[in-house]
Amino acid sequence: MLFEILVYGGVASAVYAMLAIGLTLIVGLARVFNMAHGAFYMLGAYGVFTCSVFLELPLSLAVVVSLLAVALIALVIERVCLRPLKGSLEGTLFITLILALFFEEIIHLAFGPAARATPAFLSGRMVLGGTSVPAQRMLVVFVSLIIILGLWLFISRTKIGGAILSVSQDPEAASLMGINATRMIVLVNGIAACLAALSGILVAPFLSSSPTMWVMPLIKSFTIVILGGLGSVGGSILAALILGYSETMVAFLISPRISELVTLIILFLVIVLRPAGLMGAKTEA
Amino acid sequence: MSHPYAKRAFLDLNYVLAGIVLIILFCIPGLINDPYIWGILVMANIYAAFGISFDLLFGYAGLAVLGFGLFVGVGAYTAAFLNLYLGMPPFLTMPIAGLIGAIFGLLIGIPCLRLKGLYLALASFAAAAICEKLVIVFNDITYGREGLSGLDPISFGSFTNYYASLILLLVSIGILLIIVKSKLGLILKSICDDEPAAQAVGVNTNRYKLITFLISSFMGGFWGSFLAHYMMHVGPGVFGLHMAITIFMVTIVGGVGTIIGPVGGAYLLIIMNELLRGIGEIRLLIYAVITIVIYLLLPHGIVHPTMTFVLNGVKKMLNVLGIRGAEDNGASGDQESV
Amino acid sequence: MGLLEIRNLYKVFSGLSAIENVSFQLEKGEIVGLVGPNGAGKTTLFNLITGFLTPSQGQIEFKGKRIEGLRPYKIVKKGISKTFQIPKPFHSLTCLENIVVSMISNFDGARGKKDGIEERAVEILDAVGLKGKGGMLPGELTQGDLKILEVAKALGTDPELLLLDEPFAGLSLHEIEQLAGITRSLHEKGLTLIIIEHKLRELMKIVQRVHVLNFGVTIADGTPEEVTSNEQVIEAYLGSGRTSFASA
Repeated sequence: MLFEILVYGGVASAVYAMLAIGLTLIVGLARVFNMAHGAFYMLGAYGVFTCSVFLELPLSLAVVVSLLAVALIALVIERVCLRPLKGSLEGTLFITLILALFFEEIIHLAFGPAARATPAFLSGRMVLGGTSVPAQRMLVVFVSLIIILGLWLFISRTKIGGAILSVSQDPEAASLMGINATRMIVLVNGIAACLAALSGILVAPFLSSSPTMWVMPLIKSFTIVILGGLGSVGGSILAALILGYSETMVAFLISPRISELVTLIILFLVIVLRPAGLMGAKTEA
Repeated sequence: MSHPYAKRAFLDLNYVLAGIVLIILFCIPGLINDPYIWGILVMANIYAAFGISFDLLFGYAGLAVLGFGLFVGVGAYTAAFLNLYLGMPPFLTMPIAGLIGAIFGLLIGIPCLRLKGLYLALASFAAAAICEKLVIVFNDITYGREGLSGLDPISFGSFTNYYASLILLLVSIGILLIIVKSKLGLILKSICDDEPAAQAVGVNTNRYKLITFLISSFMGGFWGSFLAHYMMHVGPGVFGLHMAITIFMVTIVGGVGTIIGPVGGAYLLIIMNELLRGIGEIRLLIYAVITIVIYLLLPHGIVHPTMTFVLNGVKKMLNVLGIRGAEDNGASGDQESV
Repeated sequence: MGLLEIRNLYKVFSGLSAIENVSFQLEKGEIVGLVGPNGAGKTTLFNLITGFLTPSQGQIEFKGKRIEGLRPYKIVKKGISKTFQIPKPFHSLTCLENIVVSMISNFDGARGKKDGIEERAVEILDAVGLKGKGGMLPGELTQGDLKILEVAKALGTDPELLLLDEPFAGLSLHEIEQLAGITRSLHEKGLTLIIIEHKLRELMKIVQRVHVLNFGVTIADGTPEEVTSNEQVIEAYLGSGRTSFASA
């Protein structure tokens, strides 16, 4: 039982981390919360579903096509909706929320309200420490770790990564050094959307896809972002672990019905008691 | 500065227009003998009421309460419990639902007082989502996702339903307009514009934010119960994002910060909903697009620009017909202007 | 017992001392300048007095009662008002309405005879030289008028002590003279004032006394003549290359 919690908690944390890192970067950079973030998760899942089941593309191609499509959509949204609303935080919240509904409706129209199943990338099970775990879930952990590590290296080692960090810390100084904040924002939006889509793609095989599947991932994403501290990638990872494991423990030890409630309560408490989160990142004055 | 007469005349036209619309609305059952259409208008009135309550919170006090569905849901479920388990009739359940809504308004408002826009939005949203999940989880009393059915209707006739909703809406609009045009409205606007500056001139911003929460949540709860009785059913969806998003759409399309705007927005969206029913689910997509487009292009919504447009047209017409007093500035070369 | 008494005030931000052991007395009817190089802690001191910040240590007394740590609106009701360095008008309200909002705090709740408030608001606008501009939005005002509106808003609260934070910043010479004149006449009517300013030449013409801060510490307190010839003060300014005293 303990090992199961360890593994499944890890899976959850991995997915949440991927969802949250993108969002926290956007928040740190552009100081906006994109409520359509959950929609990208959904579009990724449905993208792979469409490509592999309807278009019968090979899986890897399906993944790539899906990611590109989501990235493109995210960039269009950034250009058309986010950039004009740059000043207004509330405006962005409402508009992106309506956008999320828009995507939900499209999916609903195209695929119907019933849940859909995507075939697994890896079938079969692995035996780990005495428990047998579906290979697909281990794939999730594996891929997430690679991606997160890659992202970490990207941000801390490459020039562009450094540029992103500097814009999030001090936009003025960054622009004085010739860094184009707008381009960075576009880049980060694309990365975040791809990360969200990838999480959707990875979990699609074992969580059924439905038009309303964007809501809880969205809520969990911003719970983690706030808990970890706005803009802090390290904080998001830590918070993702906390959330993933709390949920899994509650699901295994108490009842699976309550696990999402736990997330929501954590969210409410964090915002009200310690909005600066764990890493205590500075909130706007 | 415009000619004093001009100002009064303009005001008169405003009221005249409103009066005409009111008369038409009151005569609808006489003009159109179709209870189905009356039913649609009842829904429009309900959503209009949600919209104006939300507008007080968001458009006037600047509080982005994403979780507004919480008050609606609380009111709806209160009515359901009181009616189904205690047998209370609607005219009792609705005010009580309003009160319970107000209590929740306080419960949410107090911790959220010192939260900035984003955090307020998310915290209120979390609270609404918590309630939604709670309702689903404790499904022995709440029947979970199915919801509770069989509530008493408002009245036994679409005719009286229609007038009940219309009159109650007018009362609600009246209350809010009085508030908004009073000193309280001015203070709310000042808090919305610049909270530290408001504090610096002696405004107890926390108190006024709470007052706004109270009024808005009371109305949300009251009309939530009206909705429950009208539909004779409640489900967990009433708390959630979808309800909240619909209310935003109504408010944004109609015009944030105008109180009357959301009324126009509600009527527009509900009527469009009916007209487009033939083309199926796509119309929801269309609303989403329309809302976004309007927000980007017409941040003040459609009601005020439309009214101004109409009234300008009427003014020009009156001028052409030689009825004076409707022009300002004396730019037309009117010798009597001072 | 003076009007305002500050005793051994400290304010520390994450290990950084913004205000260190500052003491200060103010009598009713005085008009005092608060000066010092940038970052000396002047605005921080204002924020401590008006409740926007809570002291880490020390006491602030107004008319004999302790006020440190009270919320800003309560301190306004006690009779202290301040202006912001960069004017913060209510953008969606007209100038008149801007003043009305500050006057409402003097009445219980949101009720008050409508005529009484509006008439008085118009009086205030006239007194500060914004006659006839009551119907304009702040967005339509010049920079100088915005600063005057800022003062008018503070006056709407009927203060006994008025704190002006760099009122002359960004103004032309003519506008400065206008505002200085308004300040002087307010003082003559009995208002007690503390003024933060960098434009020392203009400031010294108005104030009777000057309190100098540097790095959060008081380094001088006296008449303009005493302060401008104080070696420490000169070094503080020349050292940071800010202003030349030769012309003050």
